[in-house]
Amino acid sequence: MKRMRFLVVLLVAFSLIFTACQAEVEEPGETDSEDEQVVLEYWSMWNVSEPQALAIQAWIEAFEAENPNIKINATWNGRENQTKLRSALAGGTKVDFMDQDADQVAGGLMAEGLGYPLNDFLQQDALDYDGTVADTFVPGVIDLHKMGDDYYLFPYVYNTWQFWTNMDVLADVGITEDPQTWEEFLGMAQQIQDAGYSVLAAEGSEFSYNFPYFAYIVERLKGPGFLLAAVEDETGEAWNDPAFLQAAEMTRELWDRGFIPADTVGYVWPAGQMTLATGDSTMEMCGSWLPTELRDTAGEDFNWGGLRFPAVEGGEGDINDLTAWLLSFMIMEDSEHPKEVFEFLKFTQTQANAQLMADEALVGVTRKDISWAEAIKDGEEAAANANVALLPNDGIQAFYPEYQETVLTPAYNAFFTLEISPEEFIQTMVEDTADYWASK
Amino acid sequence: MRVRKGLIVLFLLPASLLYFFFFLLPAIQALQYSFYEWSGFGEEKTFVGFANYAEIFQDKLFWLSFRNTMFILLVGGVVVFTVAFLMTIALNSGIKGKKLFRSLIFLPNIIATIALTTLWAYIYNPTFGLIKNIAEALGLEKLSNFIWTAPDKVFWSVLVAIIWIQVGYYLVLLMAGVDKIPKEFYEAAEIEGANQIQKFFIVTVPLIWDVLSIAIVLYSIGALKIFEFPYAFYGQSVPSQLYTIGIYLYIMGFGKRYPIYRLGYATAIGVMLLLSVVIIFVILRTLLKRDVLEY
Amino acid sequence: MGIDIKDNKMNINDPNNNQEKITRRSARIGKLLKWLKHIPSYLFVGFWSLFTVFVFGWIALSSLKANRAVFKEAWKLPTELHFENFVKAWSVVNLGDYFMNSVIVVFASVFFILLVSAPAAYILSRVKFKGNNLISTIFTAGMGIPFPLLFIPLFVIMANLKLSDSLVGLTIVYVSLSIPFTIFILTGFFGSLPSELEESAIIDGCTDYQVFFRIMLPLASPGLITAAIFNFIGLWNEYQLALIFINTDKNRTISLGLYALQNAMQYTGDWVGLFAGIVIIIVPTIILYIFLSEKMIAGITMGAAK
Repeated sequence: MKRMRFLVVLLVAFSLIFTACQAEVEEPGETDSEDEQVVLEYWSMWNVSEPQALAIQAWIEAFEAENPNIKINATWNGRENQTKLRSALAGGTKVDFMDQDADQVAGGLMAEGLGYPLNDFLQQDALDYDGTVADTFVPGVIDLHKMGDDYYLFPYVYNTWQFWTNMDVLADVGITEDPQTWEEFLGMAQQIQDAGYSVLAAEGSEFSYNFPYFAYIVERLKGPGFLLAAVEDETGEAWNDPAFLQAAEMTRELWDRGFIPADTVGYVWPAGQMTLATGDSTMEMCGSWLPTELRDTAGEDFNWGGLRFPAVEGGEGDINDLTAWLLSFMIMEDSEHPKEVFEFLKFTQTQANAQLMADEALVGVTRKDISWAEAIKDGEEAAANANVALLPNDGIQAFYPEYQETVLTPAYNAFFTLEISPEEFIQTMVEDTADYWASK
Repeated sequence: MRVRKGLIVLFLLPASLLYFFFFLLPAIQALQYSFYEWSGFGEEKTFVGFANYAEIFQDKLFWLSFRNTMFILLVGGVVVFTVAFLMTIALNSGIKGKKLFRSLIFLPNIIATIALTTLWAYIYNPTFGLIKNIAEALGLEKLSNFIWTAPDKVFWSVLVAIIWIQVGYYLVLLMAGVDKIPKEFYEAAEIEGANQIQKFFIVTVPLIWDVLSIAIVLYSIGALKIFEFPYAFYGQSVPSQLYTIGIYLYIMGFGKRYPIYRLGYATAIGVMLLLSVVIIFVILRTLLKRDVLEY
Repeated sequence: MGIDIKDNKMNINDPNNNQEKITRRSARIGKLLKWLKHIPSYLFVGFWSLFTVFVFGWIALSSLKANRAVFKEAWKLPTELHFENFVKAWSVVNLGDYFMNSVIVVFASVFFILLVSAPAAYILSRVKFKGNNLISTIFTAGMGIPFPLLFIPLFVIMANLKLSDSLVGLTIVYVSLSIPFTIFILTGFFGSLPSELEESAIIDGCTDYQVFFRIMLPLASPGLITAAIFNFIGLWNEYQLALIFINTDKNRTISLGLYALQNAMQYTGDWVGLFAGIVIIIVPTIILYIFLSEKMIAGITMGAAK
């Protein structure tokens, strides 16, 4: 009993201390309207100690030094930034600009009409480039997430989607040329396999990592937008186009020939990519963050290279068409200082600043003429040469996330992990697409 | 027992106020969303009446998640309580180190879910996993080739891990109930010549019936709402084989990697979840009803 | 039970005390048999516990490896000890500030949860009055409501109260959301307490308050402890509500630090950093858990047994 009372006293004391501490905390973020001081609220997808966050913090400091009347308040939310923002906006929080994966913003805030149009801003002169701000971007990037004729997104990180490869293995097998066509790619894979190496690393049911096989092949066969059109066909019949069956069969061939090892069906991320890092497989099709992500496990001596997805002979897509996973800023529609925000965004696109991001975070950037990290040099080249940048999953991810999650993902996972055949996969897509649209 | 009305009000008031303003009120507001199509952004909601509910009935994925949840509830529940009971008997049979064992068995409940999911993914890995290594070392070929996380088996593998975690939790609960029982009852039973099993069923179970019913109800509600472990298990995404009602709700309203932002539909799923809880609760209450034994 | 060692008087018929020696020996054999009887129990709980120890040990040992070794030699002991993993994780998990925040929020929450729930559970489980069933049902129904649904409306309420980015606000949310579950557990423990004690206490002249605080509450203490532990563990690792309600760095809890480590995975692949962060978080959790459960149970049940 005595101890109980003691405990109660202890806890009451705790609560009193705690309440007292709270009383000293001020409400942050009060805009001082007496001066000309402009305070911009920035909500970020990064966590405060990530390298990307550190780079952005450096940007903010430099920018504030040059523009003493502008202060940027950064809130480092982490990956669920847009979701957090949704609650905050409902609660009346004022945010000036934010960032997130471009396709998420496109399908979320932008689609809701909550973005500020950048059309005029992009035509301003660039700070250190002979042209407009829009001209500072590598090809295809600015247009990628256009909504109608309007631009809302300001991408700053460019993740290319390629085969990230252990070049030492290729050298060992005697492969010196990048495969240009699917046939050459299969030939290369066969060579690698015959030399005793495991070829492709993949994760079991990780849709976002596995679907690009199919999406790329369809694009190579029929060009961008073809897949999206099939999704939009409410009868589902568009899936009967032979290109889709062909793409499915080509994907299946990678398994049949053992290029994707059978164990892969059971790989839970990051098991698949780890086989690449530890030298147990040769290549994985993934975003250009992969070499950076695996750097610690693979070691500094790992010889990284990035192969573009091959073209298909007779198809409409080009080997240089590149799927781009962009991370992007967006100015909020009801921001009171869009001009000032854009001053900052413009600032981030200078040579020096973009290079800073590329060096700190070891990722690709959207600015022209920037030297990417050694491991992703092939990404830099691909990005510079990609006249057509492709939306992730042909735009399904941005515009039809529910369809992607509820219709496409279960069917494709089942197909990719060998549960159903290519024919069954196509059949499922035809039926489920029709069902999906019927239920709307 | 009869007490002054003032006491009743005083004792109930703080909890009721907090509960009303910070739980019921927002819940009622939220439940209204189920009649709208709303992304959660902005003020405009589109009223759709019962369309979301109609859609749920046709929704293959919803029924898949419902089926998974039922398995967790029924199969998981039976296994968890069987094991927890066996452990209670074992720990109360006079062995040493009872508190230590109980703490160790409870330990997984303290560890952050991400650690546990990573660990189990490692245990199950088909190439370098623990089971594979042990099976190979023992020469058990079929076992070492068994792919635990293949799409057709991953749900059951995850269920095993969930059971392993939950056993400790319900063990603690059951033992707290058992600790309440005065020693005299056991001593009386021993004098009558009862062995361990008999002691258990004749003395322990009836006297912890209230705690046991609490535990069963808690488990059922927990199973219906289960979210964290399967959500985190597969890495970047949640394959549909691991969907539970709670996960499906979250994916529809918030998304894991790819936000879907259908808050109205997600809320309707939430209402279905709430209804399931209510139904299960009523069923359990009827099944578990016994007069509370005082001692 | 034990051997009754009779007085040491020598027995004429048994000068060498053989009778006693035989009794002692059979008693020793009896003890051995009893110990053997326990073997299945030991094996059962032993293996299970061993597995848990193995789990924790694996996480702890992995946190000392380099990333490569975690994947290449997952089940071997670390060959080198990389203590810098902890230094790195510490700076992200920000043990100093985040930990204090977690301690404050979780302790305060558990305290207030018990403070408001115990009286309510007592009344609802033992006092017959009109509306008892209705109120009980309303509280229980709350257990069925999935929390994600509450994120947006609750945030709006908190924002209106200007408590949205604060530890106070988070505590209020934690307390309110834990009430149904806690009341539910406590009604179970209060329900089976003997009413004779209550009645005799009243006869002895105790007020209702004294009956509750001095008699009922201590007797229900296993339930209180259990509810406290469950709430503590649940809230300590809770991150979704914290994510919604907490923005600024100085208000973060330790679970948000872990969330940050997880997020960073895709660009840093720093699994050992994640494990180190987990170990950093687990260690105080375990210490607190041991303190709460063992010391307090010992102290309080001793007091309650009066």
